[in-house]
Amino acid sequence: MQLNGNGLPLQGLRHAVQFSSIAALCLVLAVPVAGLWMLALVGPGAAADPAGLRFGSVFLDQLDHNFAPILRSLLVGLISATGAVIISAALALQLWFLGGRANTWLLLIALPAFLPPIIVAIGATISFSLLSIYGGLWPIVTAHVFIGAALATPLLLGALKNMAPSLIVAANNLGVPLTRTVMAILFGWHKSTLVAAWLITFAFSWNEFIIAWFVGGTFTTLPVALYQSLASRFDSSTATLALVGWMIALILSAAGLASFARKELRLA
Amino acid sequence: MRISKVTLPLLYCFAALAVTCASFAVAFWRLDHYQVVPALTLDNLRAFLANPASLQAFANSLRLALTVAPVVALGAAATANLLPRLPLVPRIAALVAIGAELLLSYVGFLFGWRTVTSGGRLGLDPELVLRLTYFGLTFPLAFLTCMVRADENAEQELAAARNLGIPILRVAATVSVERFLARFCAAFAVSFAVILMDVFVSPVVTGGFRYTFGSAIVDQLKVNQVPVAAAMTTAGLLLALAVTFAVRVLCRQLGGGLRALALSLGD
Repeated sequence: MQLNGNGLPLQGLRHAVQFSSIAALCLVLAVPVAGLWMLALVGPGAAADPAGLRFGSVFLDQLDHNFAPILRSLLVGLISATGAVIISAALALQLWFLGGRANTWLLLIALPAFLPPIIVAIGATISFSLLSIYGGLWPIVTAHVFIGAALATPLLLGALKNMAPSLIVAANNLGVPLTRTVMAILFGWHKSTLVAAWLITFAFSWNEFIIAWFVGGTFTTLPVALYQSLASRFDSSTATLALVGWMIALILSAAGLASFARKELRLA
Repeated sequence: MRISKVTLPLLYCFAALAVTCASFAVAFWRLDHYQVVPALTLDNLRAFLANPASLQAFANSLRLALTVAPVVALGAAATANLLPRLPLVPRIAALVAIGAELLLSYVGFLFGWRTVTSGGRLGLDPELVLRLTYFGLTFPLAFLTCMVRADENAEQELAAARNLGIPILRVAATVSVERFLARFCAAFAVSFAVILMDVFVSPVVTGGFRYTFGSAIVDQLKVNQVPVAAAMTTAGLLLALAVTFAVRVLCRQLGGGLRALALSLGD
């Protein structure tokens, strides 16, 4: 086998594999995004549609038509993200004190985010029906808080690991109350990480469809309303709203990750 | 009262487990006058196994998951291995693409694929469209799983082995393959479970070209057969765990065999 100076086999082959894997990745992303743009601008028949040129007015029409689902999605997102960040901050603080044993716990905590959504959705539907709760805001919020906490805890723990847990003991020895030290750590040192976690969990909740579809009942969030509209009419005007909704989630998450990355770089 | 250090993680894990176990428990309960009544019966599992449509749906989803998940896991593990070695700009571009796709709303993803592939626009076979959609849907999650499994010291260890003059093939067979297989197993587990239990891809993207297991579960829920739906979910989850365990054992055997071969060649 031909080896280069670093002992790596066939540099050209390596570049070819790198290029093809990134090209495949971009293609996989490009197909659905291009499809949504096509649907929003051109229409399902792929024939030139004047509606595509009235993107702004179509968007405003749909905004007006879907005003209630948008408000519901905002409400679910705001409550879920806040709840998830509070829970994940508490979880991350306790895992921080555990030190080396934290990784096993973290794996268990992050598990709901990797389970097929239908398992969480059916489990939640059955749990709530056993409690005689059928649909509404709180079942969706509870399920989103669980998944949101599973997403946010690794982020917060990653940030906390840059500091030594002995800091709390030192502050305690100096007479600073525990609550004040914890608040100073979370809202002083790790404010940007908290913001990042909040934005990412909000974006997740804003976009989440399967759990909301199963447990929401008549409480229709924006993704559920879009699904119902697209499945029954498959029109281009609804796709405009779907596209804008996704872009909002993307911008929020990018802002969250950028804020987290900036903080990490500053600490590094 | 002093609160133990593991109280909150324990409570959270217990609640998550309780939600998952709810469907497991209800799988053995029975339906009495539209009410789920606690019992210990296997009738729900029998009802699932006696229904040819549900079994056909199960077989369809299993075939899809067994054919697509290895490709997804292979691609995700390879990309996760390659990514740290890429120059900065392609690395950031790849991460942005994966992140954007991970965040692409499920509804947007499905209808985007449907727009591109509907009406035979690309001239693709519906079976291939279904597989490609599952690949696109599960790849970001599988990649994220691989990154969670990433070893921070992997690159330094490989560099140290190279500096010590250990042959590259021996390093690859003993260290790199083992890490690759660990990532492959994790990515396979996630993508297999997601594909097996998916509900909306087939009806939305291919117009119901294949009746899938997730759709069969939803149909049972629609006719208020909650225990049967729970039994099907439990069966799917157990099968996903069993297949993941089998793949893990196979990968360990393969890794062990390669390691023994590399060490014997080195001697």
